[in-house]
Amino acid sequence: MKMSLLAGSHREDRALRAVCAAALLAVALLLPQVLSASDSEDASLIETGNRLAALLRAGRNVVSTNQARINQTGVGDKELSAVAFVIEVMHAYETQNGQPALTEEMSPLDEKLVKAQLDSMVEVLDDAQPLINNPDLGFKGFIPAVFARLVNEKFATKVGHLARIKVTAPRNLVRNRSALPDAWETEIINGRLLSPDWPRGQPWYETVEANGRARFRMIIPEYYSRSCLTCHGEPKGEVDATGFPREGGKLGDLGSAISITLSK
Amino acid sequence: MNIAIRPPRLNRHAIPLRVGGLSAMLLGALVLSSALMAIEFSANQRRIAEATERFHRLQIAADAQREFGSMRYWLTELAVSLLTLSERRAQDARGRLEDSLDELKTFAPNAAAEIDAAAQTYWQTCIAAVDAYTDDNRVIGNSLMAQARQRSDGVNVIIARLVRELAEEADRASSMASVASGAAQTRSIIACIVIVILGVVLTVVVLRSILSPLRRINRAMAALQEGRAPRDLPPEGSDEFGRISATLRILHEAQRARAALEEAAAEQRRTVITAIETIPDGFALFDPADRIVMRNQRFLELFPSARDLPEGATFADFLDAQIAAGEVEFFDQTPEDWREGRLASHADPRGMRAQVPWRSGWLLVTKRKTPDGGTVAVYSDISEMLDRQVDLDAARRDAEEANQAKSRFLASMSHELRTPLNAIIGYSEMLIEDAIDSGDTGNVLDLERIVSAGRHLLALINDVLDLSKIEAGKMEVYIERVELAPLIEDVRLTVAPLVGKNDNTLHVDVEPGIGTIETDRTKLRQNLFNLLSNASKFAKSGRIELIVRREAHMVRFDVRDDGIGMTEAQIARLFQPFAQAESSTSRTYGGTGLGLSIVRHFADLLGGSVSVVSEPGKGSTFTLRLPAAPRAQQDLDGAPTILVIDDDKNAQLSLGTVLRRAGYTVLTAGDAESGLEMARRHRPSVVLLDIIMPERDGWSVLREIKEDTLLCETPVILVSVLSDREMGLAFGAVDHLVKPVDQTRLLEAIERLNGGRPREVLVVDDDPAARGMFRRLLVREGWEVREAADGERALALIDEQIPGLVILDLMMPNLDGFETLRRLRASTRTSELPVIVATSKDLSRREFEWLGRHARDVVRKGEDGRADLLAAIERHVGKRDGIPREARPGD
Repeated sequence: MKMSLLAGSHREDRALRAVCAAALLAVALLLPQVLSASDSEDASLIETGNRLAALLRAGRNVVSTNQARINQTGVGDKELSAVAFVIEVMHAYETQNGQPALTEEMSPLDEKLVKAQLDSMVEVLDDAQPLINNPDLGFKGFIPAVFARLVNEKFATKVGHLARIKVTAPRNLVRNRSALPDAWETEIINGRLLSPDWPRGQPWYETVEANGRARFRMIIPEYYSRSCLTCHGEPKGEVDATGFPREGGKLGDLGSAISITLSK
Repeated sequence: MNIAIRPPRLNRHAIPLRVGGLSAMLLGALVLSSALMAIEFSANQRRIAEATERFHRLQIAADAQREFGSMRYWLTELAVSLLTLSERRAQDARGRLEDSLDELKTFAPNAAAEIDAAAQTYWQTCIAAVDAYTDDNRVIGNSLMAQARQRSDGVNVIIARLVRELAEEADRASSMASVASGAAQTRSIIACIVIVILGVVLTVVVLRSILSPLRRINRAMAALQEGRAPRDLPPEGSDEFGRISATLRILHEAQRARAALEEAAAEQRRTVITAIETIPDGFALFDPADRIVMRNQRFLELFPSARDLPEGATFADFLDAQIAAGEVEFFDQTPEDWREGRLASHADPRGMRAQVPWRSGWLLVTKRKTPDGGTVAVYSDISEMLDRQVDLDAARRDAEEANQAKSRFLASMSHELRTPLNAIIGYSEMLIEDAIDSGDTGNVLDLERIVSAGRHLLALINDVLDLSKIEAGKMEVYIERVELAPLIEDVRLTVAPLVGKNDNTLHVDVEPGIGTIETDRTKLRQNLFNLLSNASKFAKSGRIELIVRREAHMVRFDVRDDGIGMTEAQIARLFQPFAQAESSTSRTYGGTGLGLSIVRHFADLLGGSVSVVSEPGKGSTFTLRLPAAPRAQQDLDGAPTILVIDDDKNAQLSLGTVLRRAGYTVLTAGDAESGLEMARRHRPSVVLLDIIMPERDGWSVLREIKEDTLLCETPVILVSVLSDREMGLAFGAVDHLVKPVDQTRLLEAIERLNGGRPREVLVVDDDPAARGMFRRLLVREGWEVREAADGERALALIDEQIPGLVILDLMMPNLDGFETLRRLRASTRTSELPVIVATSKDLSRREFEWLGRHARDVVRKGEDGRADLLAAIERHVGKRDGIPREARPGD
C-alpha cells in the first residue's frame, strides 16, 4: 500500500484536536438518535462520514501540534516526512477514537475512502517537504486549514463521485473562496447550525437529490476552541499571522463545519 | 505776518477738531480701502472656490479612476488567490467607485453612466472568471479574465479622458483666479500707497497748523520767562491758541503789574527807610526773636556800640555791647541787674515808655509790640526838652509872681484907699445929717457932692478890686438856683436912678414863665447892673431895653440902647480893662472903663459869654448869654462815679471791686476810645487811667481829657506799672498809683478828691455871732458843727478828733488863724485836713499865696460871705491842695 505521509501545522493541529474531540463527543451522544431515525444504510453512511471527518481532524491536529517545528528557522530537515506524519495521525486517531483508523471490520468502501484520505495526506506532505524544510522561512503558512483543503482536493481526485469532504463555514467566515458553502450548506448552516436552539455539536444529515441522483449529505458543526481564536478571534479586523484580518470570533462560536457528501 | 502760511480754513478750528478731522479722514480712507479689499477678497474667494470646485471634480474623477484601479487589482488578486478577503475588498472598491460615480453624475452624467456601465460589465466578467477558477475551470477562467482585461482598459480610457478634461478645466480656473488675485493685489497696493500719501499730506498740514502756533507760543513763553514782552503771538480768539495767547497776554500784563507793584513796594520801602533815617530820633525794629531788623543812623549815633553788632544780633547782644562799651549809667545797679531789667521791660508785651538817663541827659525810650510779636523802639533825646521845660517853668513862675505882685499892690492900694474913703463918706453923711438936724443946710449941697464923689471913687475902687481879684485868680463863683423874674425886677429898681439921670427910659421885657437859672446871683446882678448903667451912660433921653429870653440851654440877656454907638475898632478894644470906646469917653461920660472888662470876666466864669453889636450913631446891643444850669459835676444825690479805663480785665475787676465796696459807682472801659466816650457821657468824678494800652495809650487819653473844655476839670489818677510819676503829674494827672495798687492809697486818693471825710466841721472864730451864723448855715446843710473860740482851743479839739472840715477865722486872740493853720500843716495827721479860711481881712498878696498853699479856700465874710462859704465847702472839700480851681496850672 502506498502511503503519503503528511505533517500538519502545530496550531492547526491543536484547533483540530479540539474540534475533533467536540465532534466525537457529539457523535457519541447523538448516535442512538441517528440510528433510531435512519435505516441501517444511513447508519453506515453516518459512520463513514464520521470516520472521514475524524481522520481529517486528526490530520489537522497533527499539523497543528507540529507548527513550531514546521516554522522553525535555521533547521533544514524538520524530520516531518509524510510517513512520520501519517503514523502520528494514525496514532492520534486511535488515541482520540479508541480504535485504529483502519480495521478489519471496515466495509470495502470505508476502507477505500480511508486509504484515499491517508494517501491524500501523504501526497500533500510530500509536496510540502521543500516548504517545511526551508531553513530561511519562518512562518510557512502550512496550517491545518490549508492542509485540510489540500487533502480534500487530493481526496476528491482519488475517490471521484463516491465521496467528497469539504470544510466550509458561515459565508462571512470563509477565507478561501473554494470553501464557500453551496446552497444546501448555506441553508443548513444559517437555518439550523446558527440557530440559538440548535443542540451543540449535533450534526445534520439528509439525503438530497442532485442532478437526478440521491446523495447522502451530512454536516458536522465545529466550534472555536481557544487555539482557533489565535487567528479568528478578537480584535476583529486586526491582521493575523497569515495576513488575514481576524473575524472577531469568541470561544464556542460556530467556526466551521465539515460537509461530507456520500454516494448512495 | 505768519498768518499767511497757515491754512486759513483749519486755523478757525480748535485742535481737537483738526486732529479729529485728520483721524476721521484717515479712518475714512482706511474703511474705504478695507471695503475695496473686502470686495476684491470676496471676488477672489469666488474664483478660488470655482477653481477649488474644478479641482474637486478632478479629485472625484481621480477617485473614480483610483477606485476602479483598486477594484481591478482586487479582482485580479481574487482571480489568483480566490480569497474572500480580495473579493470583499474588490466589492469595497466597487462601492467607492459607485460613490465616486454618483458624485461624478452631478457634473458629468454621461461620462459617469458610461463608466458605470463599463465597470459593471467588467465586474461581471471578472466574477464569472473567478467562479470558473473556483470551480477549477481554468480555461474558462483565463478566457473570461482576458475579456475582463479588455473591458478594464476601455474603462481606463474613459476615465483617463475625463480626468484630463477636468484637469484642464481646473488648471484654467486656477490660473484665472491667480491672475484676478494678482490684479486685486496690485489695486490694493495702489490704494494703500494713495492712502499713505494722503495721510502723510494731511498729517503734515494739520501738524503744521498746530505746531506753528505752538512754536510761537513757546517763544512767547520763553520771552515771558526772561521778562520780555511776548511778540508774534497767535491772534487771540476762541480757539485754544487764541485762548493761550489771551492768557499769555494777561500773564504778561500781570507780570508788568507785579513788577510795577514791586517797584512801588521798593519805592515805598525806600521812602520808609528814608523817613526812618530822617526822623531825628533813634529807631530800631526787632523781629519776634528780638533780632535787630532795622535801625537808623540816629540810633547808631546814640549808641555807637551798636555799629559793630553783626547781622542778626539780638537785643541782648545790643545790651552786652552797650555794657562793654561803657555807654550805660548803672547807678546803684549791677550790670547784670540792669541787663535783666532792660530785657524784662523789652519783653513786656504791653510795651514801655520810660525816661532813662543817658550820657549827661535823658532819653525817652518808647517801645511798642508789632502785631507779629516784633518790637519797635524809638529813642528820643529829651535832654533839651527837659531843659527847656525847666526854663519855661521858671519863666512862668516869674510871670505869675509879677502878676501876683501887681494884684497884691492893687488890693493893698484899694484897701488903703477905701479905708479913708469910708471915713470921708461916713463923716460927710454924718455932717449932712447933723446939718439937717440943726437946720444949717447951707453946706448940705457941698457935703452931698463930697458923698457923691466919694461913692464914685468907692465904686471905682471896688471895680479895681474885683479886677485884681479876677486876675489874681481869687474870684469865687457861687452857683444857686435863682428865680429870674424877681432878680430882673430887683435890678430894674436898682438901676432906675441911674437910668433916670439922663432922662432915659428903661423897658424890661421878660419872657413869661422864664423860670430859674442856676448861676452866681451876685455876678449876674452885677453884670446886668454894669450893662444897664453903661447903656444909661451913653444914651441921652433915650430908650433902654432889657430883654430876657430862654435860648436852648442858655438864658439870653439883651441890653439895647439908642445911644452914640461904636465903631468896629472901638468894639475891638471894648472889653479890655481900663479901656473905653474912646479915651475921651471917660472925660465925657465918666467911669473907669473896668465895667465891661468885669462883665466879660464874670460871663466867662459862669460859663457864658458877652458880645456886642453896634454902629456909630445907631446905638448898641450887648448880649449876655449864661447857661441855664452849670455843667454837671457829679450826681450829688447818688454815690460819686469813678471811671476805670484799663485794658486789663483783671485790673478792671480788682479796682472795681475795691471801689464798689467803698460805695462808689464804678464804670469801666477797656480802651481809650470807649473810655473817652464814657467820660463825656457820664462825667465821672474821677478817672482811673492805665497808661499802657493797645492802640491808644493813657498819655494820649490824658492829653485829650485835659484839652477838652468839659472834661478838663475831671481829676485823673494814673494807675500803671510805670513809675513815671513826675511825667504823669506834668501831663495833668492829679495823682499816680503804681500797680499793684494799694487799696488804702487808692481810696484815700479818691476820698481826697471827693470829700469823703466825716461831715463834721469845726468852726474857729472869736466872734460868737459869726460862729452862730456859720453853725446855723452848716447844720442846715447837714454838717455836724463843733466850735472853738481861738486857735489853741481848735488845735486841742482837732487833736481829740479830726473833723472833716475846719472853718478858720484869721484875726483871733491867743493863736491867730495863720499860726493855727501853720501848726495844722506841720503835723502829719492834719497836713491834709481841709481848711477854709473865712475872714473880713483884706489879704496881702503874700498872705493870699500862703493861704492858697495851705488852705482849701479863702472866703470873705460880709454881705455875700454865707453863699461864698457854702460854695467853697461844696466845691473844695476834699481837694488835695488849696489852689483854687481857676488858677490850677494846666486848666
